[in-house]
Amino acid sequence: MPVLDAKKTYQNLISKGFKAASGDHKFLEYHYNGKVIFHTKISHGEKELQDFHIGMMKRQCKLGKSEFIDLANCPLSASEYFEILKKNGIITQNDLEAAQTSLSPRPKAKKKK
Amino acid sequence: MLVDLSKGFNLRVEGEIGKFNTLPIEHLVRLAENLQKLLQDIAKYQLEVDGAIDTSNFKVELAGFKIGSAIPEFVFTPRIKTVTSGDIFEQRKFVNNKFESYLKIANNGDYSEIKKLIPQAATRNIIVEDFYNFTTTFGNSPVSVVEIKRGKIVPLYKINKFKSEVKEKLITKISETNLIKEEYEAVAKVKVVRTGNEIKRTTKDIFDTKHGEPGYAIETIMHGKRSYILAFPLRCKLEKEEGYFVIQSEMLDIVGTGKTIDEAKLNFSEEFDFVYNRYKKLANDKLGDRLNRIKTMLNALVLKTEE
Repeated sequence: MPVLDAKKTYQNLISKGFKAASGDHKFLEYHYNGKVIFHTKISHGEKELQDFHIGMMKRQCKLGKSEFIDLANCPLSASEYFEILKKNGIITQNDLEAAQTSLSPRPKAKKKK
Repeated sequence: MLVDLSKGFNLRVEGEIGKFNTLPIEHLVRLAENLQKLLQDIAKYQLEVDGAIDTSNFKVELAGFKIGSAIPEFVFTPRIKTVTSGDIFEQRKFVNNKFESYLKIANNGDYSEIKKLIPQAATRNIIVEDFYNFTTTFGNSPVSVVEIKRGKIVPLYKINKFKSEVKEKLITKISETNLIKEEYEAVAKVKVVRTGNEIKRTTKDIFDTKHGEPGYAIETIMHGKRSYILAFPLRCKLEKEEGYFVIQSEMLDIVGTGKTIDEAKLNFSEEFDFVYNRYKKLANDKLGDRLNRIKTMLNALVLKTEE
């Protein structure tokens, strides 16, 4: 039975693109291009995350169990995780296009004569 | 597997009863009855198979009689009754193997070993009683399971004396209680294995009827003092995984887990409450494409909230 350290998992998720949801440290949100893509809930009540916590978090993070454990323990990098989310359509084409638009330089406004 | 009831099971009766190379009819009948009851009860109480069981397929017939003291031979009845599902030959193999495991115990003489083979008291009581009757059919006459190989008698298992005091120790008294018969329909998760035309079904999990069905429907969601009255029932998936329960709405991407269904429900309600309020608070341009669509569905789903 895999057991994850709650504190370590929290820190690792933060390093992979998650942010605490509006001051609530229980809920972490995955951000892309300044937008919330999904959220997960981490239990702070217990030192170790039990199977049922992991069961919920892996679903919320759109991963299989072993992938989620890799994400929480670090082997799965932020960029690899991003690719998985993109491939599985969690970050949609619209999200990617919106990011492209916001990144592309704005056309300079014509000076009024 | 030394004993094969499909081919023939030879029992050698020596001593006073078998000394004339014959068997008194009443002993032969009693032996056949005791053997058959033992086999049928193994099938009835120990067979863990998918599909139907017809205990008449575990009847035995006298297939031969050899001398060398008295050696009657029994086989499973060739008059097989087909059942709607289940493999009769697999079922017979299971019963045969169980029977042989008891013969091994009879051979080493330590009948208390039966307790290890059958830990469930109710089943053990029945099998112990049957096995005791079978082994004591001929009183003190030596009895053994033999094989006839090229006309020679090859001993396989000796049937040692099964003392009544050992049998009593193996029997667990089950206090009678007023059992209430309860009949209800349950929804189960069933594993289906199809091999050609044959279908095997194994019940993996039964979901309590109180909680409805795997397609669990929620009409009102309560979290703390807040209630969400829904415009239409929210259908969620309910499943059990690695010892915990999962309630999930794939449409709204909300999931709750817990060690019990009630814990999973509470967890789901907390998630719903967070998601609804968080998405409501965030402007659409702060939500990803997918969450914007979920927000639209949530707004259509929640009729009103009550505090």
